[in-house]
Formats: sequence, C-alpha cells, structure tokens
Amino acid sequence: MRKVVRIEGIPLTEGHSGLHLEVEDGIVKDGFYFALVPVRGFETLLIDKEAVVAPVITSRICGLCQVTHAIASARAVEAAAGIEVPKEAELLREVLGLAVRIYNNLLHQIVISEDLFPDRDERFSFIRRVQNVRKFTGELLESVGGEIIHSPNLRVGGISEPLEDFVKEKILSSIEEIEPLLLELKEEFNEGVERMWRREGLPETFGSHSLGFFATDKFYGKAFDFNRISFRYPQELFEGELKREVTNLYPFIDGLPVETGPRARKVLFDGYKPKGGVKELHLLRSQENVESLARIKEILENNSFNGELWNRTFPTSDGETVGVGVHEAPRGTNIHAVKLDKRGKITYYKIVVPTELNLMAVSEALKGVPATKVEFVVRAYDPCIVCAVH
Amino acid sequence: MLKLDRSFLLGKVKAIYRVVSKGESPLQLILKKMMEQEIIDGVISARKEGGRIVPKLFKAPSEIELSPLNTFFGVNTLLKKAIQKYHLSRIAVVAPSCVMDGLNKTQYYGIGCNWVKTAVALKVGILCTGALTQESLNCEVLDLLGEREEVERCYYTKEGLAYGLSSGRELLVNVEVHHHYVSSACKYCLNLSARGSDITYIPEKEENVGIFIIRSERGGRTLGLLQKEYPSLLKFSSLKMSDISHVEELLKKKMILNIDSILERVEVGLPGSKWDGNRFRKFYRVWNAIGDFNIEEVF
Amino acid sequence: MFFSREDFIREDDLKVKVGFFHFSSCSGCQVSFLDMFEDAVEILDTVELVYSNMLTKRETVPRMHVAFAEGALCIEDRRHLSLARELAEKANIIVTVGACASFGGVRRLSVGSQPPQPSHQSFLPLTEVEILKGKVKYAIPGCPPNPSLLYNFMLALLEVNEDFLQPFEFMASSRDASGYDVVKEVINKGLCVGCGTCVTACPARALDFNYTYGKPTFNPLFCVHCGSCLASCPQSFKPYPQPVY
Repeated sequence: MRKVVRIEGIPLTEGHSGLHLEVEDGIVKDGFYFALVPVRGFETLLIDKEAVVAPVITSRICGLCQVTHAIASARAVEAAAGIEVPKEAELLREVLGLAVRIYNNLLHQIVISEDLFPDRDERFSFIRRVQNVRKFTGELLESVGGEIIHSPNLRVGGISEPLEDFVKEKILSSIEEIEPLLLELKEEFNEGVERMWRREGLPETFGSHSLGFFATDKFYGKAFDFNRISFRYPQELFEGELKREVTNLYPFIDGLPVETGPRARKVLFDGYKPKGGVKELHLLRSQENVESLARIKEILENNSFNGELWNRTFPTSDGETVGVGVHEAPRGTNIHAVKLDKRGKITYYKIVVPTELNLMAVSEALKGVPATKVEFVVRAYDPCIVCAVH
Repeated sequence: MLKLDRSFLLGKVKAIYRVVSKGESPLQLILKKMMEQEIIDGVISARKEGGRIVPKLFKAPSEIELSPLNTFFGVNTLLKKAIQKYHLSRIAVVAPSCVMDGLNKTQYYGIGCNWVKTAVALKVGILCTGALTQESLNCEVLDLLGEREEVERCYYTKEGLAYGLSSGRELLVNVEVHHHYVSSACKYCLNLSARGSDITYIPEKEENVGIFIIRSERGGRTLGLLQKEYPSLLKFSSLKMSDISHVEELLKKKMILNIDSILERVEVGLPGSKWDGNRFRKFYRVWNAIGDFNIEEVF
Repeated sequence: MFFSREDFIREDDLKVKVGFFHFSSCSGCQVSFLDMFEDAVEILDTVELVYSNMLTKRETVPRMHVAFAEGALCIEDRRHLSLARELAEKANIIVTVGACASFGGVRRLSVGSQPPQPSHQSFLPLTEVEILKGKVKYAIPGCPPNPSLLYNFMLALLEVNEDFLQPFEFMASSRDASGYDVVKEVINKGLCVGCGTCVTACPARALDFNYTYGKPTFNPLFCVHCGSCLASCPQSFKPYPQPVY
C-alpha cells in the first residue's frame, strides 16, 4: 500500500525543515526534502545598497558558516568590479574558511551526538573535548576575522587587519596542541558512527543515490560559470499547499541535481572512489577536519601577513558584468553572483548555497530507506536550512 | 546634604606613596618592570604620536610610553584587539575614570567584548579634572597666557593643576577657566579621582615623581612586589592623607563646579540618557544621603 | 518571578527548564551560546534544556521557565504565528537573544519579493509582538551577543541578580537600536566622555573613533542595528555595581 507521509521539523538539525514521503510497505519510494523557514530576502534587500556592505550583510545569512558568505560575497563584488586582492589576503581568507569548516563540522558532531552516544556521560565527555577544539577554532576566527561569528575584518578588497607574526606563532603553537586531540576525536567519532550503524541495524550503503558530484576546489573555491546553474521552483515540483509553503529553490548544475560537500570534494580532487551511502559522509567529514587543520598549518607556516592586506579601491562596475564569488563552505560549494552599477550600488544579487544544492541529493538518498529511519539520512547531510532559505 | 568629604572625593584609600624613579615617569617604569616580570602581558593606554595623542596597545616593555597630557580619548577601542585578536590575558589599563567606567561595565555585563572580566590584571586610574582635545588645550592656554604655546606635560602641584610648557615655563591653570574648556561630559563627572581602580596615579612637577593612591589588595601587592624587586630604581615614601590635601582641595573646587553644571542641567530639564531616565534623579538621592553609604555602590 | 515551585512535576525535579527557539534568524545566537565552550557544557548540565531544534530530539514544545528566542517574527509565515502563540502560553518568561529578536537587526531591511515565496517581507522583533508583550521580560543586544555576555546573563538569571538583569528589562521596551543611538542619546546630549567602549562593541565596525574631537564617528552603511553600542556605553545605563575600593 502506498501512502503519503509528511514530516515537519527534523530534530537535531539546524532550522525548520520538512519531508514529503511516498511510502510503500514501510520503504520510501519517493521523497522530497524542503525548507520551511520564511524567506528573509537577502537577494532583494541588497539591491541598491553599496557593494562594500555586501560581506557584512550576507554574513548574517548564517550564524554557523558566516565567514563563508562573507568570503563568497566579497569575491563576487571583487570579480564584478575587477578589484585585485593581495595574495596574502586570499590565503588568510582560506584560513578563515577552513577554520569555519572545522568549527562547523564539530558543531555538527555536537548536534548529532545524541544519536551517536546514547549514554549521557559518554556524550558529555565527548562534547567537552569537541568544545576544546572548537575553542581553538573560535580563537583563530577571533584573531584573524575579528569576531567568532560574523567576522568584520572580511572586507571587499581583502582583510582589514594584518596578522602579526607573534599572533601567527601563537596560532601555530595551538595547532600543535590541538592536532592530537582532533585525531583522537576523529577516531572516537568514527567509532561512534560504526556503533550507531550497528545499533540501528543500518546497511553499509544506507542512503545511497546515483547523483553526480559538484565542487570547485578542495579547500578554497575556484571561479565558476554562473550560467550553468538553473533553478526549479517549488511551484513546479509540488502539489497543493506545499507550493505556498516550501521556501527554498532547487538549483541544478547543467540541468542536473548534484551532491556537494565533503564527499564531492574528495571524489573530484582526491580521486576518492565513493562507496555510496551516508555513513561515508560522516567519516569523510571528520577526515576533512584533519586535512583542513593541516592546510591551515601549511598556509600559516609558509606565509607572512604583516603587510597591508586590503586593496581599498571602491568597487564600481558597468551594471552588466556578473561577478561570481565561490567559496568551498563546510557543507559544499557556496556561490554568490552580483552585478554593480557605476555608482557602486548593487543591481542584482543571487546566492546559491550548498544546502540548497544538497536538498535534491537528500531527496534522492531517501529513496529505498525505511520510513522510520529517514532522519538519519537528513542529519548526515548536516543541512543548514537558514542558509538554504536566505 | 551632599558632603564633599574625603571619601566622596578620594574614595577608599589603603595607602599613599610618593614614588621617585630613575629617569622616567615612575608609572611608566613600574609598568615596564611589571611586564618584564610577566605580571602583565600588555598595557592599554595612550601616547603621543605625530603631534597628537592616540590610544595605544603596548605589548613589549620597551614600547611603553604614556601620554604626558590628560588626554586619553578612545582607549577602550583597543580592548577587542587586545583580547580577541591577541588573546592577551593579563592586561593593565591606564586611563582616567571615564574609561574605567566603560571597562568596568564591559567586565560586569560582558557586552561588547568577549571575556574582558578575566583578561584585565590591573587598572591604573589617572587623576583627572577634565579631558581636553588638542584644540581646547590650545584655546585654554591662549586664554590663560595670552600667547600661543605648546603644552608638554600636565601635572599637579601644591597650587593645583599646572602645565609644563615647551618653553620650560610653568602655567598654573585656573580651575574655573579649566572647567570652561573641558569636554562637555567631564562637566558632569563625579569621579575625578578614579575611584574603582586598583591604583590612582597623580603626576607631580618633576617628571620622575608621582603619587600612587593604593585602593585595592591587588594594587598594593603589585607595588609591594616591585618595591622589593627594584629598590634602587624606585624609591617609595609613604604619605599621610594630609600630604595630599592640595589634591583634595583641587578636587573639591572642581567638584563644586561640576555639581553646579549638573544642577543646571537638571533644572532646565535637559534630556538624560536613554535607558536610565533616573540618571540625574539618582544624583539627588546621592545629594541627600552622601554621608550614609558607600558612594561606589551608587554610581 | 519566572521560577516557581508549582511548575515542578516531580519533587526531585529542581532544574530550571529552558528552551531555545528560532524565528527568522541566522542561528548565530544559539551558536554563540555554544561558543562559551566548556562553560556551555556546564550550563547545559545545570539547567534542563527542554527544547531546541538543534540540540534536543523533542518535537513538541513543553512548558518551561525560560524561553530563549532568537530571530524576528515573519508576519506572513503562519508557523511563526503559531510558535508565538505557543510560547505565550507555555513559557513563564521569554528572553529575546540578539538583534533580530530584540530590535529587528538586519531583518529591518527585508523587503520581500524573493522567490519562491515573494510574500515574505515583514519581519518584526519579538518585542513588538503584542501577544508576547507581557512575556518578553529581557532583551539581549548584539549581533550575535558575545558568549561572555550570554554566560553572565545565564548566571544572573539563575541567581536572580536583579542588578544585572534590570537594564535588559529596559532594553525589552526599547525600539530602535543603531549607531544613531550613540549619536543622539550620548554625543548629542553632551554625555560622551570619549572612552571608545562603543567602538569596541560594534560587531560590524560601523563605529570608528576620531582623535581630533575625541568622539566616535558613525558610518550607517555598515550598521546592523544590534544595539551593542548604546548598551555598552558607560553613559547609557548606570548604576552597575563597581568594585568597592
């Protein structure tokens, strides 16, 4: 018997989202994952604002991966206005982005820790140690970005404050301290995932799909042709009241749904052979923490950031050129596109967020999963609904 | 009735010392030595830079150079840099009471900057009869002296507030004239001696002499430690309250002018601050009950 | 008084029950709470977190002592309206955390007309919602409020430290929050001492300091309307207990 199930509110995820499932004999045959938080309208509220303010405002799209939006929007404005950014500033932005990646992935581990460690004491001991590492990333974000959440130092044209060598050394020595702990936590987390899979009786390839992968870079983000993205509206995809309730768009790359995120980066840039299923996502995400920390260390060790990191040219453009800013966010590829006029005001703004891309991947991954276990699939993608509905 | 008594003017006093140092200002030397001893890891204050006084964060002992004038505008702007960027954890702040007010508030509530509560190791208040911007200072000197002259230092003598001029002359400042030229908010200040800090510093005529009013355990311990460590560099001599009666006298004169200004403001009904419409009504409460309780808990 | 004995279901159930709710916002305030790091774990251990979409599995809103709410209410979203009703009924008091919930924040700029739901355009801070009027007791400024503020606030709330909490009660009835507050309430009224605390407090660096006239300058372009500047100003609300020495 085929019946329709609607779930609203997925616990242990960010934001308010829902699932529309068609279930037959307890197994999901067709599913859609969608967001239900109101559209805040960042794309329209930015219009006619001066472009220099874009990173400050877009940072407020998301409180989890704030830096990512600030970076993508600053890069988009720079691309539209043809502003050259000092190389060191780009490297520092990469460091910020990676710090936020670790910070977020660990936040996700805290969020889902109830799934992994049903025992309260074990859970709290795990969270305590995760918080130690997050504290380090928080301090890194404060030192480089100015604040933990919503970094004000990220400006159009670079980074507003240099990073003195002694601060850099301080960060490097904290990395030495934190590295073993991060490795230990990775093992513990992976062990927790394995135990959870056994406890819940989930198959190895639980939640697999056959979609392609999409990412632009392993760590930072490379330019991308914005015309390859098309959007489908919920009004075209859904029936009935969902047309008026679903608040996200479904972006497609070259007309196809894709998965983005840690697995996509691994497959496209590390030659990784995907096994399929969502367990892999958990493991790759914790692997990415370690790799990100190593990359932060590499950047800080080999560069110095004492000089001016900010090209203060006022951004203006012809009103036609689309500036595209790409950043590899914790959850995947984050793309901002902007047009500026001669006065430096924004005339067009468009944001494509990783979770938005992944909504389709989640929907695909739900197929074939027992209806009682769908939440595990959703959580594995670490959806950030506030980003998806910006 | 408001009593302009000692406890209102000077606050709690544990001990008073006159410190004579070798060469530079004793406060400057003490901060340098403290940083060498790693009692503090940073100093937030102000210094002269390119002809004007700007706030400065000192991270090495050799950098420390304090503002010779009573101008400490914007010192708190550096809090975030010191605490969130550099992650300093034992900061000394040297500034007059208004800056301490902002600091105390940030420490108490935590608004504005992360974990200030635990990051500040020592608060050195500067005795202040009102702050002047460069332009107001120029005008004041012109008013008093009748000619243009640059002020190099500001200090307190038996006769009151005095400026050391670039020609080497000394200019005694009339308090009433001074009251006219100080920053507007300084006319409503009731905390001239930086109550609520660990130590209050009063610069004296000779550049290497200064008076330290110890208010807290922490302030006393720190100075005691330095006295023991550097007997040849820092000569401490204990003072009695009566030895600083000239300071008390000066503060009293200025405070009367300030109270006049406040009363005028209250009478005309000029607006107070936003969330606390009681600011000036509270003043009346103090006015009526000053002798009864501890002033610091009211303001 | 938000904490009363009648709320306890069991005799041994003495923990304060708190929930964390999310209207239209970026979740940053809730994350900022977690950014107390180890202290957050201690607080989670001390109080009982009865509802949070991110941190608990609970799907229905239970009765609670304190509801922390972040984000602005979207008038066009029926879910927000029903959540507001539910909070009005089930929470003893509501604390609005951060700029969006307290003063509107960047949400004041929203104009709607964005697909797929172009009608979502009006966002109100919770302090302006009539049904929550009696309930919203405290408003915390900041975008986001920094972890140490949230930590101090939690402690003050648990200890019922009226001295600490009072200004936050004032702020719950405050309407606008921007750098203009400092301009019009402090500088313009001759109360600015030039200490620079507001400049340090500004999370968007919209405030800068000028050394010629010794006062802050305000660049409205970057202001996110969080209220931190006036809240941090030592001239805005007094008294706060100063060390007695």
